[in-house]
Amino acid sequence: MAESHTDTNQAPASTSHDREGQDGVDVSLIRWVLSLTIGERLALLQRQADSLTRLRDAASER
Amino acid sequence: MPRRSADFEGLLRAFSAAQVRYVVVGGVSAALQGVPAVTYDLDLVLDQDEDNLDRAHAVLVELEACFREHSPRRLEPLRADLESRGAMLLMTSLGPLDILGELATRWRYPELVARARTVAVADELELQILDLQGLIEVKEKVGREKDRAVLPLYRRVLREREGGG
Repeated sequence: MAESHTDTNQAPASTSHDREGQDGVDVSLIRWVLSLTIGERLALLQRQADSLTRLRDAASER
Repeated sequence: MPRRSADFEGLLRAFSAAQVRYVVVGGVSAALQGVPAVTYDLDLVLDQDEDNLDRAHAVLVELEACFREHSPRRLEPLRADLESRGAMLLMTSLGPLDILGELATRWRYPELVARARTVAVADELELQILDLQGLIEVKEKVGREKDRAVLPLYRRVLREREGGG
């Protein structure tokens, strides 16, 4: 029986307090975006904008 | 029918291919520097050099640009409009595009170039983008609620980029 998280392959679940700085910003998300190349960030922005536009349009059609 | 969100790379390539000199500001500049926030339009500030504005206007014609605020009437930007210090909110065949004469900080193209970073996005696409500190100063100056709301995010990204954690 695992007595600590080191005995398993699972990392401890992070709390929102762990993920966010004192300013409430999700640092993990920032670090993920910073790990991308400039081109990947532009492609990500494009996909996000296009996806949100489609979702918004679909929601407004109901 | 125009795109409802901008084709960012398409718009940038259209201007760059025509050798228009510009600085990318706003949400796209922020996103390229790591800010995890979505934007739907592209914001550019043009070099006010006469030949540069001629080339830029030609691109806008090619992109079938018209002022968004007059929709559904179609009002196309004139060459003289590009000399304005104000904001031209346009819709193009590649989506929404804002051409800004100057920012809230009174920065025009020369001031922005001094605060810009050059980044390579893809093959043969190199951009000048207003650096993150500059974007923060603009948002602080504008002072609208929506700008103040994202300042913690921008500042945190700047600290992460500078290794401050």
